[in-house]
Amino acid sequence: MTLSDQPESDFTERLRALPPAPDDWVEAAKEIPRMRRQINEILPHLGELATDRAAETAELESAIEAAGFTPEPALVAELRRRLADT
Amino acid sequence: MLAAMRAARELSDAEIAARCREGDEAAWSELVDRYSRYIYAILTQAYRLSHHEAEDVFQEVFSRAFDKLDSLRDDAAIKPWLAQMARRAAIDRHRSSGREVPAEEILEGQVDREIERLDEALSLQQAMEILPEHCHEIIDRFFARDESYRTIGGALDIPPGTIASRISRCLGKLKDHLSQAEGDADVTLGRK
Repeated sequence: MTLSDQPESDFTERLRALPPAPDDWVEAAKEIPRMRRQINEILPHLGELATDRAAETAELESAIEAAGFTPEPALVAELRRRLADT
Repeated sequence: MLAAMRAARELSDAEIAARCREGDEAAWSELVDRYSRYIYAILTQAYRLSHHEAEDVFQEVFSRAFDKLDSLRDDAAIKPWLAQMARRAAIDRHRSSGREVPAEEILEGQVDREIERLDEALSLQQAMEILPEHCHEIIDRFFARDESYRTIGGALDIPPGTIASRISRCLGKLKDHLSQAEGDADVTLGRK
């Protein structure tokens, strides 16, 4: 059965199946390219932290500030993800 | 930027992927807009991650997609590629949570069926993109956002008493678009 042949109830069920993701999640995902550019500038300021996957949030925030950026939560989280991947 | 975003909306998945790889941020935003609901649904409906877990994994999926775009072999296959990435990340999150979960093959069988359902839902969502803006808006608010007639009427400045008939007319248009798209696909595949 094609989508257009489905009974109205199935059709509406499909329409309800994809509610929007929370706006702030979507906005954070859109910010990834900008975050990446910032992180590439922050990395040289990390020193020994660059190999510390368990770095404290406060240490990461200090490193971000030292690089001249605001340690917004999304940037700290992205930096932590980057360290976990290295 | 607004013009760039409008232009990005017209692009195919393959064009979006190619432009993202070239560093086009409007194309990246469009990719996120196009697939955010789908990834969100995979994480919360197919894998039943909690809100908090899903938020982390959602960002992780898009973050990895951004990093690994160079490894995407077929730009037109960005949807299954993202879905696969979401599945792996959700399974990793289940494993690391230490929760007791059904055997992986049982879980994956259920997930396959769920994702098939979400794929159909996404096809509908994409068909909605070619509806007139007022139809797209009213259908999305009523079905996907689960808004009441009163809320929709207030937001769109239309009498609540006319909303049911508008939704019905717009659903009719959506079905017509789908029938036409399915007919075109049949011709392409030589079924007619």
